[in-house]
Amino acid sequence: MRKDPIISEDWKIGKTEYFNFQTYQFIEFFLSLIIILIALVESWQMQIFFSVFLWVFTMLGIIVVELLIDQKARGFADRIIVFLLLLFLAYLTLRDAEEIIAISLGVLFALKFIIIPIDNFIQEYNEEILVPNSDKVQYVLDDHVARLSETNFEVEENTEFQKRVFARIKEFIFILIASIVSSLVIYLVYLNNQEIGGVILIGFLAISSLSFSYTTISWYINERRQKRKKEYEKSEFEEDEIFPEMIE
Amino acid sequence: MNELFSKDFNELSEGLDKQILQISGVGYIMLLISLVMTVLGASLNFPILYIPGMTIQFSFLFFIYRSVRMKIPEFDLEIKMPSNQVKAKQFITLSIVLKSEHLNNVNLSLETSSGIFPVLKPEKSIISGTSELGTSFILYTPRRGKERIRSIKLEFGGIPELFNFSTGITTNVDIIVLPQPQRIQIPWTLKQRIFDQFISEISISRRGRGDSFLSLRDFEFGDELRHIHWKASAKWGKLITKEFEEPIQLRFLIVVDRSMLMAGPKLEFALSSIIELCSIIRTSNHSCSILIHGNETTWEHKLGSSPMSLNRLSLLLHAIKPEGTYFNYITLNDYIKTHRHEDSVVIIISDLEQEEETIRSGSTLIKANSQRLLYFACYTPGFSDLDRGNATLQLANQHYFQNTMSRLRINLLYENKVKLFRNTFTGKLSKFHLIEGYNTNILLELRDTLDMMHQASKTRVKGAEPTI
Repeated sequence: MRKDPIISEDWKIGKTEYFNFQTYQFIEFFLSLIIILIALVESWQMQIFFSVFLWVFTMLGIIVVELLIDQKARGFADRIIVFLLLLFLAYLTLRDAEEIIAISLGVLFALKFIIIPIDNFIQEYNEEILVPNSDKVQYVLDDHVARLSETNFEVEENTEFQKRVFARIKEFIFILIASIVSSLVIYLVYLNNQEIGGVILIGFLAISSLSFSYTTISWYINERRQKRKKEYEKSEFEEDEIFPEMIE
Repeated sequence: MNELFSKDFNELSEGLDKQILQISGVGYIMLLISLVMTVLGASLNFPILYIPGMTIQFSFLFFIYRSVRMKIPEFDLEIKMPSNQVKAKQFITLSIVLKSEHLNNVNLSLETSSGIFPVLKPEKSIISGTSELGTSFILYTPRRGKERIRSIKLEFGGIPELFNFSTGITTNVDIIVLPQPQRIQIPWTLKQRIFDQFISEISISRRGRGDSFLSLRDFEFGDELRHIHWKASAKWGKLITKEFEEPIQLRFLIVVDRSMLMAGPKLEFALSSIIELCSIIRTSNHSCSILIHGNETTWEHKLGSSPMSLNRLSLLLHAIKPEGTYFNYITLNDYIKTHRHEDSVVIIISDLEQEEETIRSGSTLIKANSQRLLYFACYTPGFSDLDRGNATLQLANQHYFQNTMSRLRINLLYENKVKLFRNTFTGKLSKFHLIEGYNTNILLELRDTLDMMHQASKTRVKGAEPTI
C-alpha cells in the first residue's frame, strides 16, 4: 500500500476487524503435540535418553511458537521451518522405530504439512487495509456500512464470509485426504513388493517432474506476456501527475 | 442506492485473460520440498519423510489431471457502482456479482490504481457463481484526479496458495475523483444568510425598476401612477410616489492560485472552496466566473445557473494541475482586462508565499480593476505543508527542534508576512483574511471577514462623531 500523507490524518494502516480470521492454531498445535508425545514414548522405549531430552525441549519450543504467539503474525516461512525442524528431529531420533509408529507419524506429518497452505490461504484475506484513526472516522465508516445494508451494495457479514471460506477449504481438503490415502497405498505396495513399488514410484516421480516442468514453463511464458501487457496499459494511464512531489 | 453505473463482462469480452494454471511461490517451495522428501524417504525407506512428500505430489497430479480434462468455464461478471464519480476523501462502493453454473467458491481479487485504498476489508474475497450474493468492496479515494479499477482476477480449483486455475478480466473502469467537500458543512440557511450579509455589505443600492421598495419621494412628471402611495399623499397633501431598488447584479470573479507553492492541501481547499461559493452564488441572480491562474496560463469557467452546473464544475476541476512557479499578478491583470472582467467582485484564494515586491505591485493592479477585492490567504503551516517530519539535524535533538524551535521560527516568519499582506490588501474596497487551516468552511471565513469589516466601519463611524 503506498504511503500517502493525506491519508495519515484520518486513517492508519492495519488489518480488518470486520472479518474474523480463524487460523487452525489448535489443530496445528494438537498435531505437533501428538507427534512429540509419540516420539517421546518411542524414544523412552528405545532407551535413548538424549532423544527424550531433545523431544522435551522441542515440546517447550512448540508450546511457545504454536500456542503462545499470535498465529496471524506467523507467515509461511515460519511454519515451514518449524515443520522441517520437527521432521529433521524425527529423522535423527526415530530411524529405527517400528513400522507402524513410523507410518502413523508419517500420516501426522502429512496432515501437518497440508495445514500450512490452508493457514496461508486464510491469511491471504488478512491483508493490510486502511483502519480509522479516530472515533469520528470510525463512526462515519460504520454509518456508511449501515446505510449500504439496505441496498444492493451490502457488504457480506462475517458469518457469510466464514461460510464461504469453509466451503472453499472443503473443496480441496478432499483432494489432500485422497492424496494421503494414495501415498499410503503406494508405500504399502512398495513395502510388500519393492520391485513393483519401486517402478510405480519412479514412474510417478517422472510424471510429476514432467508436469511440474511443463507448468513452470507455460506459467513463465504467460507471466511475461501479462507483464508486457500491464506495462503497456500503465503507460497509457496517467497516474500521480497532480502531486508527484507529495508522494514520499 | 441506485445502480447508476453497471458494467457487464462475459467470457466473450475482449478483456478476458486466458485461463492459466498457476503455481504460486509457496507452491513451488512446497513441491520442491515434497519431491526431495519423497526421494529421500523412498531411498532410506523412511515413511515419515515419504508420506508427507507424496501427499503434495499426488495432489499436484490430481490437479494436472483435472486441468487436462477441464474447459474454460463460462461466466458473467457484473460490476456495479453507484456512480463512477466520487468526491475526494469519500467512499466508493463496488459490487461484483459472478454468474456461472460451473464456478463455485472462486477467489476474487481486485487490481486497482495506487490512489484507491481498501477500507473495511481487503481487495480480495470469495464469491460463488451459483449464488446471487456477490461481494462488495468499500474503497477510499483520498486524492482528486482519476483512478482506475484495472482488472479482476479469479482463481479457482486446485489448492489455493499452492496451485490453481487463474483467469481474469481487464476492466479498466475509470473513477473520476472530484474535489473534496469542505471539512465543515454548514446548513443552507446559514449559507444564505452569510451570502445575503455579504451582498448587502458590498453593494450600493441604486434606484431603478425593481421589486424591492427603497423609499418615498415626491411625485415627478413621468412617474407611473400605479406607484403612487395614496396614504402618504393624503397625509402630506401632495402626490408621493414609491421608489424601488434596482436589482443588484454583481459579477463575481473567483481566482485561485495554482502555482507550485500552492500544490497540496492548500490547492485542494481552494478548489473545494470554489464549489462551496458557487453553490450559493448559483442560486442568486449574480454571475460568477472562475479563474485558476498560475504563471502564464489561466483556466476559466463561467458558472451557469442550471442545477447541473455545479456537477459540471466539479468534473472540470478534478483535472486541475499546478502550473507555474509563482502567482503572476501581471498576467492575471492582463487576462482580467482582455476578457472584460473589470469591475467584478474579485475573491482571490492564495497563500503567503509571495515576495514583497510582487504583492505590492500585484495588489495595486488588481485593486484598480475590481469593484471589490477579497484576498483569502491559506496559512501554510496550518495546512501542514512544512510539517514533513523528515528533517534531520546533526547538532540538535531532532524532536525538540521540530516541535519547538522550528515552529517558533516558522510562526515568526509568517507573522511578518501576514502583517505585510494585511497592510497591502486592507483598504476601503479590499480586505485580507487569513485562513488558518483546512478545518473550516470558506463561507464561515467570509462571515468572519464581514464581521471584521462591520466592526471596522463602526469604528470609523464612531471616530467621525463630533466631540462636544
